[in-house]
This record gives sequence, C-alpha cells and structure tokens, in this order.
Amino acid sequence: MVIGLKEFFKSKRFLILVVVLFLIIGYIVGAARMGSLKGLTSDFIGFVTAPAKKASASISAAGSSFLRKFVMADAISRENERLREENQDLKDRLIEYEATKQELEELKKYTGLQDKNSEQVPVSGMVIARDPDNKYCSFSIDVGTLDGVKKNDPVITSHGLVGLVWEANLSDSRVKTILDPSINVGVYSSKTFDVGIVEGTLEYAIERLTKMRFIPNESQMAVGDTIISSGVGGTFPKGITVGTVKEIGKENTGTSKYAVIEPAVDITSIKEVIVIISFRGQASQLEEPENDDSGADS
Amino acid sequence: MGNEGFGGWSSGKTTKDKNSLTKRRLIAVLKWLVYSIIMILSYVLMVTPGFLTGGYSRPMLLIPLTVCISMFEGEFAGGLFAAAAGIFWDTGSDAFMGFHALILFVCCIGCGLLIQLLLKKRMLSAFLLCAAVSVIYSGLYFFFYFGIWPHSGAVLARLFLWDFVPIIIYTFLCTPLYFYLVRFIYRKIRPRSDESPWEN
Repeated sequence: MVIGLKEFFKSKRFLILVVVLFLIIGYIVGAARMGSLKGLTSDFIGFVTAPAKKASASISAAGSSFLRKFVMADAISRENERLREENQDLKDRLIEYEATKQELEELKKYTGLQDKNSEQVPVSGMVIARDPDNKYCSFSIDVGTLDGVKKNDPVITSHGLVGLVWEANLSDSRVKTILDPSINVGVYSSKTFDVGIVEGTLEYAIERLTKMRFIPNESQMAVGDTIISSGVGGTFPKGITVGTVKEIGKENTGTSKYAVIEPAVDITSIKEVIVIISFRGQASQLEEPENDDSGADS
Repeated sequence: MGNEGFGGWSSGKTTKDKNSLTKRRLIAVLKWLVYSIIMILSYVLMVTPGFLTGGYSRPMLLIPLTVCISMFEGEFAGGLFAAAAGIFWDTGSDAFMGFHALILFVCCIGCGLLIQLLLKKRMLSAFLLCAAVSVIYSGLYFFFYFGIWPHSGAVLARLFLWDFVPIIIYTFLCTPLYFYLVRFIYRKIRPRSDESPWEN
C-alpha cells in the first residue's frame, strides 16, 4: 500500500488533481465575491437543464395526480365532505360580500379610488426543481429574466404568499419561501389589525410553519386569525394572505408576543406560482430623493 | 480520461496504431458522454418535485453515481467527473457555489484510491463508500449551515435525526442501481486493453 501511494503522489495525475482542487477553491472564492460568476454558471446550466426539469416535473405531477386517486381515496372523501360544508358557508358569506362590494363601488365612484390590485403585473411559473437537502422548502421555477422576473419579486399563489425571488437567471429563478429566516414580511392581523413581522425560524420550518414577531403585549389576536401582508417596506404588495395563527405565546424578553403561523399555501406541494414583477409601491420602483445641497429656502 | 492513459506517445506509429488510437479515443468519448447524460438525468430526477419523495426526504442521486464511477474509472477521471457533477448540484442548491463540487471531488478521489489499494469493485464496497460519502457530505452540510449557528440543541438533534438521516438512508438504498448501471457501461464501452492507472 505504501509503494502504491508513493507512486500516485509522484504521478502527473496527482499534480493535475491538485491544480483542479485549487481551481475549485478559486471558483468558490470568485463566485462569493463576484455574483456574476455564479450567475453565468447558473444561466448556462439552467438553460441546459430547464427543459428536462420542466418535462420531469410535468410527468411527476401527472403521475402524482393519478396515483392520488387510489392511494388517498379515504382522505379525499373526507376532504370532499369538509369542502361541501365550507362551500355552503362561503355561499352564505358571498351574499353579504356582494352587498358590501356594491356599496364600495358606489363609494369609489364618488372618491375616485383606483383598484390597487389592477396595477400588479403577474407572470405565472411552474415549479421545476426542489433542492433535496434544503430545509426551508426553496425551489426553482421556469421563468427568469427573459420573462421580466428579477431578484426580490414577490411570489404568490391564488391562496396566498409563498416567498420571493432570490436569484433570477435567464430562463429560471430560485425562490426562497416565507419559512426561510432571511425573508421578513411586514404583516397585520385581519381581525385586530395588530402589526408584526413574519420571520422564518429553523425550529418552525421543520414543521412547515413560520413565526410572527413583535406583536404588542396588549394584542387581542387569537388562534384562527388571518395574517395579511401590510406592504411595509415595498418588498411584498399589501393585502396578500400570509397564513393563519396556530398558537400565540410571549417572547422570552417579555416585551412582546409571538404567533406561530401556518402558511396559507402548502409550500411543499405547490406546482404553479405567480411572480408579481411589478406592483404599486414596489421598493425597486420608488425613486430615491436627490440630495439638495443648496440648503436654505428661498 | 479513464484508464486509457495520460501523457505522450512515441513517434513513428504505424497507420494501424493511429487508427487504434482514434478508435480508443472515440470509445472513451462515447463512454463519458453516456456518463454525462446519466449525470444530467440523475440531477434532474434528484430535484424533480414529487419524484422519489419519502415524507420530506429525497435521495442525493449524484452521490452513488459519482462514487460508482470513481470505483470503476479510477480516482483521476472519477474525481474530475465528480467535480463537474458537483457544479450541476450547486446551481440548484442554496449552498455556496462550489460546495458540492469540492466535497464530491475530494471524496471521489478518496474512493478511487481505496478501490485501487484496498477494496474490490464489489457491491459491498459500493455500499460502504456511498454510505461514507453520504455521511461526510451530510455532516459537513449540517455543520456549516445549521451546527455553527445559534439553534437549540433539541432543534438540531431533531433536524439531523428526522431530516438528514432519512436522506442518508435513502441515498444508500439507491447504490445498487448505480453500481450495476456503471459496471454495465464500464464493461460494455471500453477499449480492449487497460493501462496502469498511474502511468505518467
């Protein structure tokens, strides 16, 4: 064994492997310092693999739907019954909603308010890849800069907020979800209007939950309350459902409360999302005020 | 690449030698093309939503693939191929760019050396090496992305036991598939003569 290893360490191949090792380390440092280096690699590999990922994701989704009918027949039956009851409740609420909506339309005519949601520009995308060892459920979608997607664009579904675009390549993008600690969402409770920040933690991300922090101690928030995005900060549009309160507790510091939030969207199983590439109040659209050095008022 | 030798050839070759050389190089290109296609397919399947998902766990298919290629093709070619596979993995991961490339590169060189010096090209060796690389990779990922950050011990223990260990086991169970596949390709697409793996 000693003789074999000595030959290996003296061979040209060993030298080449050492050179490659240094190249990889150089690449790591270069990619960390120059985001463009990582972007170039991601663009190329994403361009090559995106069609295969799309095809694979479509086949997997079709197969899952087909198998689900047989494997989850009992669960589907129970869910059907629950949805029937919910549907009836929603029908009753719809009658009340229509009346309120009509009243609001009349008021808008008088005040000239615009529908703020009509200013959102959506781009729909399909989930094509999920990293096997990511604990915050981040994923890749099949739309990128060629479709108008850019970094920090919010990502939603019809049920609610998912997260935001963290890396936009030519033909695909990486999305970080609201389970991720690096994503902060300004929110408020739809019932009590108490404000807070939704911020992911590892502890809750394992259970596919997230955490709302900085809730005032005097808050009357309760389990079951719906949490809505407030639009503060300009990263996420206002009025997007974030989730439902599952549990409320007091922070260790005692200065505020926290709430455990169950996301409105089943992040682990979504297949299609909407990227909002432009909306009213988006931070990237706001112009920075110019510094006026002239000083005194005239 | 592979065991076809690396380095210069003596002058004065006959036409027959040159044709033989061209044929051997074409066979080598074909073999590595097949390996590359398998690598891309494995990467795509590894990240496909809903495919091979057991609970929240999914196998890291690139690990058994690169380990088995290193077993049969040697530490040199296996290491370089593993680095390329790692770059693919990096683009779809939250880890810093080059993380998977570096780990797979070093581990597969080690696997290739162990096969040359100590172990035989058998299924048991593939199991052992794949398990070792899975544990090393998962341990490093867990340490750098969770272990050194301020999380409670209970959360970390739960994360490792309920998330990382199933992934390691799942990856380990995929080893036979890649062992037989790589062995089949290695035996079917190869030149007639093999040279010493460390010939300069």
